[in-house]
Amino acid sequence: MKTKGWKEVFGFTFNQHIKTKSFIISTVVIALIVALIAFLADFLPVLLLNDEIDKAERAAKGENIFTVETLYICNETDIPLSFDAFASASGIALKELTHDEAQAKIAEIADTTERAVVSVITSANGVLSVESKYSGGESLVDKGDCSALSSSIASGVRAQYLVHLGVSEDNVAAAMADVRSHVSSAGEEPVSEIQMILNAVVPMISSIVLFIFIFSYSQLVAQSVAIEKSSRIIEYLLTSIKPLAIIIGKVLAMCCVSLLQFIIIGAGGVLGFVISLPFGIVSKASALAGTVMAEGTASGAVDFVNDVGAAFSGVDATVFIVMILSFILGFLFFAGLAGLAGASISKMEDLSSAIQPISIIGVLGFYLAYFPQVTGEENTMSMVARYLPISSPFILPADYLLGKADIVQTIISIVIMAAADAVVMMLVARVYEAIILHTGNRLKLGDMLKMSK
Amino acid sequence: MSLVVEHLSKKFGEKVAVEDLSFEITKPGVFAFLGTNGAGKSTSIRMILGMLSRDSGTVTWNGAPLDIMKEQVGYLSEERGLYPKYNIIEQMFYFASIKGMKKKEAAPAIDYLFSRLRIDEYRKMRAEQLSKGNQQKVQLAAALLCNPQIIILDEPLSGLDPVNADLFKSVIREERDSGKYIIMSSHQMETIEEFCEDLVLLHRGKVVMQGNLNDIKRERGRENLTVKADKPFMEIAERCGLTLVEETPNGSSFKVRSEEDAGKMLKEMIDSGINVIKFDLREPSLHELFVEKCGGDVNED
Repeated sequence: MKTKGWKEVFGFTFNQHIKTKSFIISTVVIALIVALIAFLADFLPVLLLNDEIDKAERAAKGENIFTVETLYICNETDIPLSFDAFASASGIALKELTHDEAQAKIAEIADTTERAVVSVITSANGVLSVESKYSGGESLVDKGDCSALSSSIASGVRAQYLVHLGVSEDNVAAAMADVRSHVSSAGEEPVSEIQMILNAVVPMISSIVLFIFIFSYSQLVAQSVAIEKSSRIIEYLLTSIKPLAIIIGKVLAMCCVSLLQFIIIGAGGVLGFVISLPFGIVSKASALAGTVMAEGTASGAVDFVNDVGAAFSGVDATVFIVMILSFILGFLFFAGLAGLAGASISKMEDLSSAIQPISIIGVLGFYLAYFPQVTGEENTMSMVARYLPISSPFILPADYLLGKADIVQTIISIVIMAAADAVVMMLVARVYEAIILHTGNRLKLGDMLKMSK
Repeated sequence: MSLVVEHLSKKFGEKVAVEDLSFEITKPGVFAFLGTNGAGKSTSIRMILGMLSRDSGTVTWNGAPLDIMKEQVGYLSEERGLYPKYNIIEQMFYFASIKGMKKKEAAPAIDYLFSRLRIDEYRKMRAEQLSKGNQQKVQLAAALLCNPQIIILDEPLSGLDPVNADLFKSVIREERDSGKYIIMSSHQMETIEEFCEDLVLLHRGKVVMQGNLNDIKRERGRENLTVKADKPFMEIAERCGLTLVEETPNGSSFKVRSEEDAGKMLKEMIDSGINVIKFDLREPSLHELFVEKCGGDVNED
């Protein structure tokens, strides 16, 4: 019975707030900014890696991606070598030359308009080498292309030499595969550079965003309660509903308003990403996945996207559930306290001083959550922050996403948050009713508790 | 139907705010709930409405404890307010919804009240854009919105210009005539005399006067005399045992012990050849009764 009417309070508070100019403007502006950031995050790498991606795409289609039209090869070793498959895949015309022909061709391309590279493969004292010369006239051939071709030929020579020595083609392919190198401290899983960056950035951003949303909307609850008290409208409301119904309706409405804004802003990010999809790095790299790249082509771009994909491979529905639960429980905690702060005053000018203790608690909680993220270390402070209700809402989602908190730790943290909310709400139910009609000077915590006895 | 308040008491710490307040409203009409500033009127009203806990006492309506969640009670508080930034009509629909009214029921009630109180043109404005008087009209409309059987009006006319005061009075009269139980608190004694038959007067939380106003006046008798004449008459007044209260250009006011003393004075004045311009013997006004009961020991807020 004491909560009868909370739905009406909820509906009115929610509707009035989402119609305010400040809500509409801030939501639209932030959503647009987030959409732009998401768009640029996908599109900027395309701009930065444009040449490499273009080459990779052309290579995937079997087009010649080099400024070289003809590759002349002179094999002066005893090893039988063939570059037909490579030339065919690269779209480059291949001609084999003898030693003399090769020397003549080198002299010829020094000042002709032919886009050509002459590669001479030699063996001396057991050392294989590839000496490549490119057309010099009017800079027809890019030196980088010549280097890439020369490296690819060298790889081909090494592979075919191994086959010549009796190693099977499969073993050669396995041995020639790219070997990645990672460095990490003992006892830790190796992580990619992208993963390391995300490990550092995601928790910080998540802490800041959750703090801003939870805290700013909690303060709006205090403001809303204070407006009803200072404008004396509370006296009218209390002829129809109980104080508990008012505070419940108000807190839940503000929680939904902030969630709505959170979702709209998130949707802005998704929209920005969707818009960028047709020409962003993700779709381009996905199209290239599986393509065997010649050395020096767009393999870096593909690796980048693969690393990003791996970094977010742990994101599933439970991450969003933990995030939403942390948000709601954190909001109820701070909004309940803020509601009491709002009820402790009779004049709007006292609001900032009434909210000050809540601000101190909130900022303390935020820094408790934020500092372990900055240092990236798992220590006592991060453990405390994960279970303390004033800081856990800001740290738990990122900890769970990045695997710093397992499912059991996450559930314990959520249960503690829920228990703290229950305590705060019981305090609110008891104190709010007793002080809501108080007029005069701002009430201190001791006064509130005394009045509620 | 009757509203019965019995032995209502409230203390804030050591301070007694209301002590043993009892009254009964047994028939429709306007009941005056009077008192000096800080006498405990608002505290009593809040206790009657169940907003504030009582240390003791009961409030019953038709024999059962008054439950404002079930019974429709209209309340215009002394400390009036609206949401300053919100649209007036949306606020009215909100107030209707918390009183359990559906939008379909509320719309015609709002239309009628806004038209009756001449505030139709302000329905789409924000409260902060309205004058104080017009905000007060909106609040009266909110109080009457659910067609309540019990109406509590705390200083309904304060701050209103004469035109709007008359408008408010006509609305109050309309509600009274339609059989509502109205409790009105006001410091405008003329208004109380105009509307109320029964009253209770609080001073420092205690009831210092209570009952039917006409009976109270009748009990006191005609003890106020105002005299104006073309010649001095103070010697006659002293001889007749009259006590001078004040002298104004409109005449001299006296307290008389009995109507006989007044008659004796009039006779002596006429016998002395004094031309009597004004000789007004009357019962004490509510204002005088109020000042007499509370004037010597006013508790300023």
